[in-house]
Amino acid sequence: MTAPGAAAEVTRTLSEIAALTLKAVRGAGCRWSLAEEAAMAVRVLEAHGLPGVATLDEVLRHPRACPCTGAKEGARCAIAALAALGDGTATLAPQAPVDLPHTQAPMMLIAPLLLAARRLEATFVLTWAGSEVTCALDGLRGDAAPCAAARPRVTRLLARPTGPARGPDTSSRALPQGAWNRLTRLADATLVPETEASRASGAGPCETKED
Amino acid sequence: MIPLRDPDTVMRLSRLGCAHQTRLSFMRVLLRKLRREGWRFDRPAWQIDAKGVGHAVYRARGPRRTYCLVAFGHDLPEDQRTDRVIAEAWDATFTLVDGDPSPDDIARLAANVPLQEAGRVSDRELVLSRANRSARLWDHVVARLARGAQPDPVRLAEVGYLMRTTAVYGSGKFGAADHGALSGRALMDGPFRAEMLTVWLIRAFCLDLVEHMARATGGTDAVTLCPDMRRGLGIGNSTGLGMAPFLVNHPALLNAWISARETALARVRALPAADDGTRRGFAAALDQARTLVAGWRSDHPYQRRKLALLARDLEGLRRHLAHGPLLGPAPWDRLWTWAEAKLSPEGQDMTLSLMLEPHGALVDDLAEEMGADEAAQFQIDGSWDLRRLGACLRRHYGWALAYDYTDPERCAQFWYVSEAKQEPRLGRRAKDAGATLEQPLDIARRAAALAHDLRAASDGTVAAFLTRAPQHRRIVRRVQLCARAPYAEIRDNLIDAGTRPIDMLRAKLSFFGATRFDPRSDRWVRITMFQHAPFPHELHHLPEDAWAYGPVPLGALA
Repeated sequence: MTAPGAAAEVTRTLSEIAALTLKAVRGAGCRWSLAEEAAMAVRVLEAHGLPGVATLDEVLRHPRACPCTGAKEGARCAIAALAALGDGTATLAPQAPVDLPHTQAPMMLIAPLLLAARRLEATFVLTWAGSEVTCALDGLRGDAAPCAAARPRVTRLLARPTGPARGPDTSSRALPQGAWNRLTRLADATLVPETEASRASGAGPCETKED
Repeated sequence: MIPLRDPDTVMRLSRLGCAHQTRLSFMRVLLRKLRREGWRFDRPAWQIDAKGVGHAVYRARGPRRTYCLVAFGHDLPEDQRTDRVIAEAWDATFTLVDGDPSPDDIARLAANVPLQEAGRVSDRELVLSRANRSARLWDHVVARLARGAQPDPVRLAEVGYLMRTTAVYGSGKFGAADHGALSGRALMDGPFRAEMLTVWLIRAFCLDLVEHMARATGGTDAVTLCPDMRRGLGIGNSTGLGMAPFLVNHPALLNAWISARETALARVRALPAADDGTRRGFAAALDQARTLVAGWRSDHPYQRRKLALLARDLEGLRRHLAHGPLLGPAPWDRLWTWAEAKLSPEGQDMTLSLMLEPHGALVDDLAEEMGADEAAQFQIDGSWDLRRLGACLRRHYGWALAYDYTDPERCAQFWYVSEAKQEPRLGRRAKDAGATLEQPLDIARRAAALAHDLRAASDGTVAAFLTRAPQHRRIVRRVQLCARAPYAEIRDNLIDAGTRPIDMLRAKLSFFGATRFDPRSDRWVRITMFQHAPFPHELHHLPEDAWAYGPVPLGALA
């Protein structure tokens, strides 16, 4: 039951979130290669209690400098940025902060750092516009505020952080209905309408009485 | 030390399409674990009427967890019974629940599970499934049992099941628990364990239901199925293209499955000698396999040819065995070398399965290594230089670089997702609409495109290259994965005019433990699951893992 005035919500699993975001990003015109990056990132963010679905919805609704569409206007595309950051995590020098270009939705960059923290057993700190989070082997520390665009800074730490971390939570979660519906509409753009010909030849099981 | 087989041999699609179940197949792993961990089973609810309508609960209780199958029986009009995924009603619908369902849970599930895709379960549920009765067998069995007679054994053997599942959804679909939620959990910490437990309990429900309906018809005249006939009935499954992309979209998992099987083969081949027990075990399994193949029916020409070769190969293997090849040194390696030289791929893969049979103590531990942490394998290492990437590409994707993709036959098909049911489909590029919405299963073509662009690239890192050419991220990730997971890729062009999706289906289903592959076209197949397996009430009383090739041997029942 939604409280009066509150935004409507829908409950979805991480698998459903990843499946929808993959198709939605592709439906929005991005390459499959980057759609995969976005789907993994949103799954990781949601698993760690961050609004991945809502953030992706914002990313796709706003102009951005996008390698898929060739658009130059706006901040650097968050999806391209998180992919590039993930590629480079292994070579980040310890204790040497790196300033990143002006980037859409810097919260999205938390995902590749969480994946790298597990893969490399390393610790990374990401800061932007008053937010600071630490991504470590055991999960996430700190608070991340939504932000349309900023110049984030990432630092690989030598020391392991202490104190409680937010590890991944695989249970279903409530999501904003509006964002989910918009992503669903984008995902629908990847589907092929059926025709008589495709029904006859493209499908799997067909009717038979001999069962 | 015997090296693992070359992925260029093992991972060809035509070879994967010859795979058979083994000791490492998920159904067998599940039943061994249920038995060894002392799981107990009961049926705390049976509220089914004379028409088969109502609900039942089947419970599996282990040392630390309880799982329950909640089954709903329906009165389905004959004209609504279809295997197609577009169906909206079924003879029975199911869900596997984590723990004991409360009355409120049953009410909630009763409002949703019968709707399947149109309903919604919670993450207390692990699997959602449905099944239809076999029109060929169901009424016959009910009628015979109702009048106190056993059904015709020939008809039972021809069909092999009373109900056929048309979908078994797990891994977070339609609200069910996410795959990650099962990690580290009792019994479920392995691929498709929840799905296999569901199907095994569905089988128990089907047999209980057919006997219940016979009693409702025949009253005191009715009898139950005799135990060996009962055990001879598995669960049918009808599988179409929906399953095919799975192996492509989960390369790390595919590598884990094939690696486990290949490691098992290498371990057995490395044995210096064969003792009397393993020799007898192999011979007994071969005899059972020959019986199984003799009773394996298919009308599809592709499968009939393969079955003929398999029967010929098993007869050749029997004759070869009579010459004592297992008596000398390195017997299993010599047998395998003989099989590679003399047998068809079908016969070789069956020989592999048979070689693992008497070596459970040597290979069964590999079942625990058949999962994969896909998130841990996801990131690209951008620090590689392009020469290293190119060398890795040529080493693991040489097969893909050999095709001429300007030849329309090499790109004749395309994979897409249909709007009607959001299911994967295969289209003909020259004739069908939708190629602009192609799914990225054209791995071979993408590898060739990467090779082309690498030739034009100057030196540098993978990270810099991908910034300029992000379209290659997907294939670069796979190339890097193959460097540490060489069985991650089906080494064939999946958009070629000659690609047969049923080979992809069979590869996956063989790892489930399916038998009696019966293709109905080049893109869907019927199988049988858990045929001859013990039922829950007899799991602890029958020999362990002795059912995969046919009826439990009479001697073992004494």
